[in-house]
Amino acid sequence: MNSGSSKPSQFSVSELDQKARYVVLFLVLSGVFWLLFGTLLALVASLKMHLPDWLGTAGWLTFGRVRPLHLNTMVYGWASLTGAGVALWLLSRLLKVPIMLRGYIIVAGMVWNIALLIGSIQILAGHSRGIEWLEFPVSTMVLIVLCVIIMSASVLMMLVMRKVKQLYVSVWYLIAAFLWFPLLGLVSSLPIFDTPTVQAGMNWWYAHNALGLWFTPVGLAAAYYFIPKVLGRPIYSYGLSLLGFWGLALFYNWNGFHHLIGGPVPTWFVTISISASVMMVIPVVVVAVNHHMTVVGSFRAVINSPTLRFVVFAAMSYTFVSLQGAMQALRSANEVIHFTHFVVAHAHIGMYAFVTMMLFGACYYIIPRITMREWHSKGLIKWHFWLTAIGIFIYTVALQGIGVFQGFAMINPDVPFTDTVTMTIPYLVARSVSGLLMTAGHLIFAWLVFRMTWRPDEQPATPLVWNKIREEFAS
Amino acid sequence: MAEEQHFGDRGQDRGQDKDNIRKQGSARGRKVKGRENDSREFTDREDERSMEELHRAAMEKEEKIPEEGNERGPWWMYVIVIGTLAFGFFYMGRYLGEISDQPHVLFTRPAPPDVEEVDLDLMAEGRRVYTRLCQSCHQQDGAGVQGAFPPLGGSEWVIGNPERPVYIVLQGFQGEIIREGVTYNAVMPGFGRLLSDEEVASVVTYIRNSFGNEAPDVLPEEAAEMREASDGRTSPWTEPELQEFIDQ
Repeated sequence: MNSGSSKPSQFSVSELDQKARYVVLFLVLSGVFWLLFGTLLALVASLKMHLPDWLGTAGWLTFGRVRPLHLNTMVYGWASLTGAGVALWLLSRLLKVPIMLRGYIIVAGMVWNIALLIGSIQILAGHSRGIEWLEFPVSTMVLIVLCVIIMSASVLMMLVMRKVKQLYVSVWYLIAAFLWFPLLGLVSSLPIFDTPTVQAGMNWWYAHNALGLWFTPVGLAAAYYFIPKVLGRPIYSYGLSLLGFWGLALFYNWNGFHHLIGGPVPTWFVTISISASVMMVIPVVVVAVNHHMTVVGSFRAVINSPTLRFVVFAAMSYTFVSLQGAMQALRSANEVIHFTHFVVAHAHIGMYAFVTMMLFGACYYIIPRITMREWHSKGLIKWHFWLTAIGIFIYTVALQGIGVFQGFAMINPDVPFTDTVTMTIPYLVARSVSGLLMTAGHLIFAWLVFRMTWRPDEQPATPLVWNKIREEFAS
Repeated sequence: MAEEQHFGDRGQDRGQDKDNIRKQGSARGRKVKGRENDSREFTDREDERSMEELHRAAMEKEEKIPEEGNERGPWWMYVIVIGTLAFGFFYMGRYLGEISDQPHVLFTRPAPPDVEEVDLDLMAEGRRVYTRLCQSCHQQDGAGVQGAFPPLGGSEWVIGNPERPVYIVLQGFQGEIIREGVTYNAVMPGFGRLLSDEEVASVVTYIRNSFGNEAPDVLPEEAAEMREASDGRTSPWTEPELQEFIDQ
């Protein structure tokens, strides 16, 4: 920082934000489109759980196609595209260099969107790969991975040309994520997993790592950036940051096979995975302490800052979902709750209450800075937060509550299977209600982003701080 | 630091008294100024501070990369870390099994050498079979469905000669029958291949002693005899065929 002003090549953050503008906006807006599309699919799938005959006549609207497409559009559309945009912006600011290969990344983003579109049509037409989290045909997956590789190249160029000496903790996570995800995507696309047990092993290695080694690092990097940034105080401990990062890097990769408990795979294979899943408690507790001790005493800011409100909610959800995950990996717990709605809710706490809420928070910080415009309404942001937060809360309580009872009923040989299904119906209705709340939240978010990017003439009169910078750049 | 301040200046209101702002560098001066100009106040906030003030504060720290402290963390965190490591390694050592391709090593028990003889509870076993296979048509209370599946409660065929219900369970039944003025016409599949002699005897005993019925038990040996007697028949019985077979 001290030598910063003496170098003429140093960029100010507003210059960096200006260069990031089109790349990040394109990725985020694409993500918001897929968020809305995925939300629609989610609602249809959720309603079908308690209205099984609804829309049941057309093949392409059956549950077996709508639900996988919901997962895939949310994961590879919303969370990956927006996450990549957020990650590139964070790296640009933290390394103090503009995003590299901007034109290539925009082209890659277009290809990515087209790949998603083709993949979506393929799944609806019944050409799913039939592997959870990898339902998109291999062609779509390979295209997406190639697009990520272009971004990874950009990220590595930024790292080499960085204008800072020390790498902040967010940078470690982001660089790692851009190296891990292409590897995951490429390996999972190789045509070498043709025996069923090996394919199942690959499936859960991939699916769990996509969450833990792609979305989690991006989410944690955002938390590590925005919490100290908005509060204006340093992160509690560098040492804990280090421990948290290497803990994730060491233990996460083994986690996926706890999904295969009871499956025809060797015992040692599953046992190692369960041990590693439990060991994930270490980085999770360390990161939670690090974040909590940074925020503690400043909870007022959490109420006032829209970004922090989402980010802190997401960080707390990360702690909760990870500790829960470590517990439910144990054989004794897994025996009860696996194959019930409990696990469905667990996955949604991870991808929604953690990753999605974190991305919302990041968007609320980033978009005003790259567009130099203001959010249209603070009230609507508040509505967005409460609708989505209450929505995912109801979702979790309803499905995890009944999931435990469903699990005990399913392992009881005296209970007919039909009873284990009918007992969940009221809770599935509650899930649809919570889905409606979250949908309303997403519509508000999309409207706010729309107002900001498409209707520049009708900006709120105040505050104008960012417009001033724009005028200065124009002159 | 020089650059930061320069940047902070950019965020200020240049349209108004430029020099005044330069002189009044203090945050206090800016705050007062922000309040005076109502059009710049962002009213939709819960706290007192003006949005401009918040933005200026944000702008000033915008340039910096977040810093990291050097705290050690609370003691209980280390307890959790060490405890988790200990548990993880214990679990791995305890349940690793052998490094082989055999599934479920440690989790499948070999059959115990001495099989304990347990008395067959015909009613309990019969209830289980009934719930699994019969209940979906004949209903939980044995009342059947009008016009499709005849009732079991009070049925002469159920409580009379045990051969009739056993043969129907083994090979099934089809064709029209009339009970108390209602015509029933549906096909019941045979369950002979699915059920052991013990299970056939149990389920028949169960329906002969439930739904208000009362009739002697059917023993597994009897069921075995009847299975042997009807061996070779694969299609469901009709009413006259069944009558003829029993009369022989």
